[in-house]
Amino acid sequence: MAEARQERSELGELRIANEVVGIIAGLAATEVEGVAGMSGSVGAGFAEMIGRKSLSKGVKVEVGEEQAAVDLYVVMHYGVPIQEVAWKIQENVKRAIEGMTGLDVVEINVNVQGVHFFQEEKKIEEPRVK
Amino acid sequence: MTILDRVLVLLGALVFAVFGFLLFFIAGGWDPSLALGDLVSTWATVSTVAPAVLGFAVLLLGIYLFFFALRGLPQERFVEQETSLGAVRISFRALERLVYKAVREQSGVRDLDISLKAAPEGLTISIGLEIHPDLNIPSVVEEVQRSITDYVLKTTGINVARIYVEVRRIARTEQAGA
Repeated sequence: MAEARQERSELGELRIANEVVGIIAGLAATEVEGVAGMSGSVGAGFAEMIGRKSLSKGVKVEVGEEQAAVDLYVVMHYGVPIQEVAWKIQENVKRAIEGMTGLDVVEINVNVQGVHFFQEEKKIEEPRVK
Repeated sequence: MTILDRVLVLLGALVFAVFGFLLFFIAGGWDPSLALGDLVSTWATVSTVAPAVLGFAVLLLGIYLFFFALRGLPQERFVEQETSLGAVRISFRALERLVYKAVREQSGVRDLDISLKAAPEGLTISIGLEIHPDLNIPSVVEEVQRSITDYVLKTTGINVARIYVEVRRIARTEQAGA
């Protein structure tokens, strides 16, 4: 069984799977303007080929009893200020994980693996004759 | 992965696929000794060199694929910067694409290739250029160096220590149709 954060209260038990933390981090990262997408592994690529979206693609998490550390692998759009966007990713991911899980996020490493260029629009040629 | 790697991996895949099909047919009741037995014994009696060469080639292919699998992926190089929340690492691959696109958009530049090196004092960029004809080369190069230094610093926060530019070719003008 995948590792999970576990909390006991007088009402019962709470378990949060590591993958859930990874999905929260992935979604929070892709929400940031300037992020083209997450950089995936071979497994994630194969999953997408057969129609299954990998929501934790490009994310590695380490979850303890009270803390979490996250490694994100992202692709950014060309032309964005990478440092600024990376900082916003770190802030957004920290806020999302701490808000949704109560974990203290001690480290968020952003790895910029690539840059995405938009396809240049084809020029529409005016016809010479009418 | 080089082109040679791809070709050899493809050959290995074909060998395994053929072997897999043979096993599949054997499982379906096909007796290989009937079809292949005569072929193999004829081949072996006609020439011992061809089977030996083929066997040696397949053996070499197997050894190559074995070491290819053990070789592992090349380490990704990156430039790292620390923030209060963690590290920001920009891969060389991403940096090269950014610099390539930025230089390519410079006026006067027709084509280029680049390579990067990281040093404590900053990034060193080496650019090989092909430029349009009838331009002042020192001006074009100075503009490239200045704009790329500013661009990289503004976009990534990384200091560019030096930019080496080699103008390798002047693009030929296209001849007007007769």
